[in-house]
Amino acid sequence: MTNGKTVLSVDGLTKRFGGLVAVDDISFELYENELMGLIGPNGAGKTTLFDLITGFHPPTAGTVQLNGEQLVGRQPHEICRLGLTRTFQIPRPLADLTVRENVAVGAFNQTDDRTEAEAIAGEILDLVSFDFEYESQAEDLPIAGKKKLEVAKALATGPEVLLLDEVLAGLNTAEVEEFLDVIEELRADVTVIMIEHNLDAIMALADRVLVMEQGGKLALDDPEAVQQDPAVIEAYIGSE
Amino acid sequence: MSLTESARKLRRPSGYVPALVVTIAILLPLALTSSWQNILILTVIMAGVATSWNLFGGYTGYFSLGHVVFFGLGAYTTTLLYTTYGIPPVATIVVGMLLSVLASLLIGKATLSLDGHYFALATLGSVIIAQELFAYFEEYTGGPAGIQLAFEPGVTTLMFRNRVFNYYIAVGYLLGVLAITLYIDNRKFGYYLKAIREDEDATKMLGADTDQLKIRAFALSAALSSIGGSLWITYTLFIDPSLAFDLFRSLYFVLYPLIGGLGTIMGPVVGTVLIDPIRAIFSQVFGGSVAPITNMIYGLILMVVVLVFPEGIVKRLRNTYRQWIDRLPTLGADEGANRPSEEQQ
Repeated sequence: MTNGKTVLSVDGLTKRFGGLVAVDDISFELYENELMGLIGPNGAGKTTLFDLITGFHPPTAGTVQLNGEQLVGRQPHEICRLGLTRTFQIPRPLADLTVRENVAVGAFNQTDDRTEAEAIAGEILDLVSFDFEYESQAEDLPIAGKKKLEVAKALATGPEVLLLDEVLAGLNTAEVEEFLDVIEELRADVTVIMIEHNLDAIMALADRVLVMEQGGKLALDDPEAVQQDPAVIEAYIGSE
Repeated sequence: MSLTESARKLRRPSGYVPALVVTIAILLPLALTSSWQNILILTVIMAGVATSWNLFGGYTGYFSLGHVVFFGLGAYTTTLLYTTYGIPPVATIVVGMLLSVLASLLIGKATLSLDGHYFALATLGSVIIAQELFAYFEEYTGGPAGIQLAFEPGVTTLMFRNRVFNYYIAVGYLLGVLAITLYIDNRKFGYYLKAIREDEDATKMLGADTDQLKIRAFALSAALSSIGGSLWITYTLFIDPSLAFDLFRSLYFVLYPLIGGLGTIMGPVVGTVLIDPIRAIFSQVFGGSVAPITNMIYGLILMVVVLVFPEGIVKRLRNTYRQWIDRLPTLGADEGANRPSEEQQ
C-alpha cells in the first residue's frame, strides 16, 4: 500500500505494572485509511496498548499523537472527541437502554439534538447491517448482536481512528463472514487497528500486521512478510 | 404546541388519563378532613424530594444516602432567614437552593470519584456531619433544642390557615420536578446520565465527560431537594437537627424511587404514594397506641414489595398500563376518522 498521511503516531509507549512490563517500548505510525492488524499470544499486551492509547491507563513512558495532538495525559472522553475511540473485548452494552439509544449515546458526540442523534444511530445501524430490532433492549441481544452494537456505538461517535478489540471472538463462521464485510465497508471512512486471534481473517483484511510478544514489538510488516518471519512463526504461530 | 394540538392530545387516553389523575389530586383534599390532608401534604413533599433524588441517583445509579443534607439545608435556611432576619420564606427558597448547590459541589467533588458502595457510605457520613454541625453551632442554629417558627399566614410566608394551600404548593413543587425530569429524560444530558448508570467507562469512551455530568446532576438534584425542605418547614413549623437531617428520611428518598422504579419518571411518585403514608394512615385509623405494630407492618410491606417488584413497580406494570389505556376510547367524534392517518406518521 502507498503510505498516506500519518494519523496516529505512537512512540516508545511503555507500561509497567510493578515489576511486570505489560507494554514495552512500542512505536509505530498508522496511516490514513489503513487497517492494521494487531496480533500476539494471550498476555502479549495488546489490550493494554489500547488502554494506553485511549487514556484508560497512563503510560509509564512514551507518547501518542493523533494528527499532531498529544493524547497522553488526556481523559478518554477528550480522546474520543479528538476522533479516536475503541470497542471493548467483552462487549459493554448499556444494558437497560434500547439498541437505538445505545448508539444514540455515541452519536451525541456529534450533535446535541436528540432527534438527530437517533437518526444518526439509525444510519449507523443500517451501515453495520444490524439484524436485530433497533428498539429491543441491549441486554437481550445474543452475542453477535452485542458485538455489532459495540462497533455501532463506537462508530456513531464519528471517529477518525477506531480501535477494535477482538470483535470476531465468539462468533460463528457465518457471523464472522458477515462482520468482515461490515469492516470492509468501514475502512473507506475510518482508520482501524484491529486486535484479532482469527489469523485467516486478519491476514486477508489487514494492510499491515503488528505482532506483539511479552509487551514488545516482534514484527510490523505486510501480512505476507509477517507470516514468513521466522521470529513470528517461532514465537507466536508455532507456539499456539 | 398549538392549542388545537393540545386539545387533540387531551382527547386521547394517553392524554386524558394523566389529566384525570392530576384533576383528582387537585380535588381530593377538598373532600378530606385536615388530618388526612396532613398525610397528603407530607406525602407529596416526600414524593417531590424522592423525584429530585431520582434525577441524580436513579439516573446515574449513584446511591446518595445523603440527600437529606440538602433537604435539611433548605429547611434551616428558610427557618434562620425567617426567624432571625424576617425574610419571607418564599424568598429564602432560592438561597437554600444556592447553599445546597454549594454543599453538593463540596460533597460531590470529594465523593463522586468513588465506586458505588463507597459513594453511598461517604454520603451517609455527610448526614452525620450535618446533624452534628447544626447541633454544635447552637447560637446560630438553635441547637438540639430546635426552633419554633412563628405562624404568620400569608402568600410570602407560605403559611396558611387552610392546609389545602400548603397541599397545592406541594403539588406544584412535585409537578415542577416531574417536568424537569421529563425534560432531561428526553435530552442528551438524560441519555448520558442513564449511560453512566449502565457502564461509566464505556460512556467515557463515547465522548461523555462523566465526571462533569455526575456533578451537574448531583447539584441539580440537591437544589431541587432543598426546595422540598423549605416547603416542609413552612408547613411543619418546628425544626431541630435530628428532624432536619433525619437519616431515616434520607433512606426513604432512596427507597421510594427504588420501589417505584429507578430512573423512571413516575417511579418515585408511585413508590412514595404507595408506601410513605402507610404508617400515618394506620395510626390515623387505629390510633397512636399501635405504633410498634404499625412500624412492623410497614417494614414487612417494604420487604414484600421489594421481593415482588425487584425491578420497580413502574417497569413491571408499564405494559399492563399501556394495554389498559389502549382499550380506552378517544374522546370526540371527529377524532376517530383522523386516527389511522395519524398512526402512520
